Amino acid sequence: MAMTEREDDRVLEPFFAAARARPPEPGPDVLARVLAEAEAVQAARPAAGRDTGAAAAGSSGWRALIGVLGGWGGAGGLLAAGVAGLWIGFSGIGALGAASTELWGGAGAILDADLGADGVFSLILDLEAEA
Amino acid sequence: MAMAFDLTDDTSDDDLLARFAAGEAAAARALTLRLTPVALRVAQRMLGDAAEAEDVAQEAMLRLWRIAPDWRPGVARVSTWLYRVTVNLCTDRLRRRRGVGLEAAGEVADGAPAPVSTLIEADRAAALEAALMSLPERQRQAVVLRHIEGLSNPEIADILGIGVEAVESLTARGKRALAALLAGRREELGYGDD
Repeated sequence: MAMTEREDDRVLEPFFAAARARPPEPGPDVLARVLAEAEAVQAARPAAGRDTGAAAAGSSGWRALIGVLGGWGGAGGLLAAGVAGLWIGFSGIGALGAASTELWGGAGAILDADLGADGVFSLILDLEAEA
Repeated sequence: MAMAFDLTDDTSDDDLLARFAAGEAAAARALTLRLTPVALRVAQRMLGDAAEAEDVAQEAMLRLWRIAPDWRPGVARVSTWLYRVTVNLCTDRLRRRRGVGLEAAGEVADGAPAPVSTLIEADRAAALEAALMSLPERQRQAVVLRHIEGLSNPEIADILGIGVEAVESLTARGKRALAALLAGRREELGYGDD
């Protein structure tokens, strides 16, 4: 530390000590306002309040996956595709031919084969577990 | 204000924040009592205005409540985060003041000294606060955090988003200016020649 800084410290330390000894304190009204906002924030998200610990850890994978799918809209699209595939499989329109299988690829084939709505969610859960 | 301290003082900020996010009312009370004074102290010394400091402290705490569910324990210290938010809120306020041509800081620093006979320790603290307000904002931040809040240089660097050497430079320049302002008042403020 430079000589001038030591001298500055010597001059200033009594002032700093006085300031530390007399910190401004929040009055009761300020504390009450802060606490009221805290309680309002807690009340506004009761679900989030319960969403902690293991539950939060489990749901974070969900949120990540939904995000990858482009939000709930994207996830809904995937579900719709699964249901549509199931319907196609049952109705026999799947016999449209090899061209459609080529077009949609393996994932479409999987959905057609043995996945309905529950199957899609099972797939999502599997993906989450692997994440 | 009478508020029961339902959680012990040694409960970590991280833990309290997680409990707050889980909806625990006691955690809200404990954090309010523990951290509102921190935000208020810094805001008051950065702004030199009690009413504005209260508004800033309230806003900083509101932001804390809102980020609680997303807080990742161990990644950063809650107090460091709160210092940073408070300092930034003060910067916004000071910028707005400059925008409307109000320079209350200069007025405070240039105020006439109180008569010697009435000066007690509170006046010494007030003299320092007035002198602080005449410093450039960055120097004031560094000096307040280092010498009044007692934080380490690395933590201040983290709060201000600058390097440790820059913190040291700001602190040294700030103290140089403060010493020049206050040296002439030491005798008047009862410090004599110690």
